[in-house]
Amino acid sequence: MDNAEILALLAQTLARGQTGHQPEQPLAARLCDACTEILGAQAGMMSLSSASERLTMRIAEPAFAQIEDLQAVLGEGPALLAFAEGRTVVTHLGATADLSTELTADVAADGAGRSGSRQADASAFPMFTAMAAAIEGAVSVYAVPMRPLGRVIGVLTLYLRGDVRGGRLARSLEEAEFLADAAGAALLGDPDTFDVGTQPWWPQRARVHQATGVVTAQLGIPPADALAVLRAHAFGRASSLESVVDDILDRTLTFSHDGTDPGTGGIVTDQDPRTEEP
Amino acid sequence: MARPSSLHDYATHAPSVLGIDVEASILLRQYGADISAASSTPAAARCDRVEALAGDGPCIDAMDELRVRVVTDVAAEQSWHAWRTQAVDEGFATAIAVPGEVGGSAVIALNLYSRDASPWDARALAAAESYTQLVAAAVRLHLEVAELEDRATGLYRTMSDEVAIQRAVGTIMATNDCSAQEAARILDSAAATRGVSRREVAETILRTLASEES
Repeated sequence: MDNAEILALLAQTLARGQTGHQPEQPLAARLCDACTEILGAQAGMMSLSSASERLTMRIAEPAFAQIEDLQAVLGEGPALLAFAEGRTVVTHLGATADLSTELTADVAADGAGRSGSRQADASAFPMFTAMAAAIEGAVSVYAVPMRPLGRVIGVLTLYLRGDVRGGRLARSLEEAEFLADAAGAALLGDPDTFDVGTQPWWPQRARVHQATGVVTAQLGIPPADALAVLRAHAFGRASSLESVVDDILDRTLTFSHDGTDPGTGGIVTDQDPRTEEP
Repeated sequence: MARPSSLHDYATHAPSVLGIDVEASILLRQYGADISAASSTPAAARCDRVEALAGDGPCIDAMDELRVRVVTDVAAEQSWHAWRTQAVDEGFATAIAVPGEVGGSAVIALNLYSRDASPWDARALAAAESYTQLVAAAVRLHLEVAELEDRATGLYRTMSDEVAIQRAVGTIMATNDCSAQEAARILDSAAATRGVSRREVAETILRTLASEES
């Protein structure tokens, strides 16, 4: 399928979604749904980034939200690597060694479009790979950067189970990359996309930023470090970032300095025992 | 004693530096937004939070008028109802509020609370004023360093407006022990009163409360 045909397919899929049951959705969410459908994935997530800020636009299916949480908690994973390096990153979680080798060979063979731009490189995010292994069943993750005009503005992440086409997308990686670039170009022309206040997912992300501010004040550290503390705490108690955020904003979890305990790096937490997770 | 590196350290060290039995807290005003920035004890923190939320108290007046306010008898005080009630409940008998000009949009005030009748002799007042000027100078230096660092790293400038605002809302929630709605109102009010953007107020608050040495 050439580029013109892919664009026509995108337009048709978007139009079908527009007349569907949720026509009021923002453009980013509709584009995410359309790309997910065209590429034959089971779930899609689109993230937009403004410098250091990474904002999740949409998590299409709860079943894959756990993987998204893991990336947020650890600060590493395929989507973050795809954004940082501006290349497609493919990883197969929970796959057998034989299947993983086979899929990796597929990715290498499909790399003619953007030479050297694709790798199946789970070794670049070892903690993510190790933690994600606990997720039941094989899952393939395709993180494709959106690069309209050659600049990475976000990442389209696609998920599918290993029992769907053996963990392969319905179309080639080259087509997936063109589609992601086209979606990115469409978003750049949408005035509402980068106005976070108009986005339906913003209240959830706003709570993360408020909690970051709370920890900034409690520990007197820059916001980026405060966010790292939140992620580390979520990782430490094996819970989601959102769960930690809820506890901080509900005042059941507080951070403070304790210079007498160098073993904790001088940071201690006070967790209301009624709210501690088992 | 370790060199103070944050407002929390300055508040904590105040009693030993001043050599008097007091509990200390520091209010920070930026673009008119009053934040209970640091305290040596929970009781002093609660008093300052009530004062910051009410927008009424000796520290507020000290910053408004840039002069020291001495409260010789908290229980008999006729002004500042919310603050007075909280201070009496905490068992404080007397207090002083000492302002310090940081420069630009920022002012601080050191609140010192005592459970004794009157520890404020001339020597103690002079020491409190000197210490407050030291804290103000440290805040000024911190803001200047943060500005220089940001030119190099873009730590704050690259933050989107809404992210900076929500993070500042979080810091105000923590320092003033208030809801997100109340914190947003403080931010909005400061921006409207001073004719600057909410983002500018938010960024300044974040810069001040994030100590690079913590």
